[in-house]
Amino acid sequence: MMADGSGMTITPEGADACIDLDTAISRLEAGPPDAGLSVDLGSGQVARLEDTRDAPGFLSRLKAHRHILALAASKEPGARPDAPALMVDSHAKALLDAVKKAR
Amino acid sequence: MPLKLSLKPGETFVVNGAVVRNGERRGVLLLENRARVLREKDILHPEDAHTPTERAYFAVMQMYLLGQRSGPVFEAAMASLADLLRVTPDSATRQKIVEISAAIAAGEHYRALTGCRKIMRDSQGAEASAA
Repeated sequence: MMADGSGMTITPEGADACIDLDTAISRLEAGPPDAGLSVDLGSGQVARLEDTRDAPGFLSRLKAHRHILALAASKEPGARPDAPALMVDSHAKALLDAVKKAR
Repeated sequence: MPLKLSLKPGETFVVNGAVVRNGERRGVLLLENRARVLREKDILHPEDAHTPTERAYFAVMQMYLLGQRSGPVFEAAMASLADLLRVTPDSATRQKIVEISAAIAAGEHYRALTGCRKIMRDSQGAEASAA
């Protein structure tokens, strides 16, 4: 922290400080975290674990974002695997069919 | 502050998984709490998702419509974003894809969908100018 306080991060009482993506993933992999874990995702976005029951889903979202960051940072165009098949969820299909029917 | 939806006669939209159609007159709806809303004009059907950009839009739209933050629908959305990154050389668009990924990780699915829509419209605009 700078003497004039310019480097100070103000954290609301009771809230965790925002941590970086790698630290958050390590912490989640080490064991169940406390609710309120806040993660700096870059691009001005912050992810917050509101409920510890969502920790596995939260961890998978963070890992997926880290994968995207690694792909984006790669200078060399990697080999492109086959394009993923378009996955249409059965509930989404029912909803989209209803939209068509309403026309 | 409520979300105000001005509806054309017969306009269809989706609210939290319910497909709703306006009657024969113009109408206004006020949504008093946070809900997943999408107008028909912003809905992409799977048979119309051909390019990597359209497939990414569809996958993120599906996640938004269903309100799912993890599981197969989420994994499909992230795989489609990764595929889009692999075929996108333009650095500004790559940055937009990273921002979409961050929005998904933060649970801001509507923001992610808006980002996908911008990329889709930019690519359609570029294709139209090239034609």
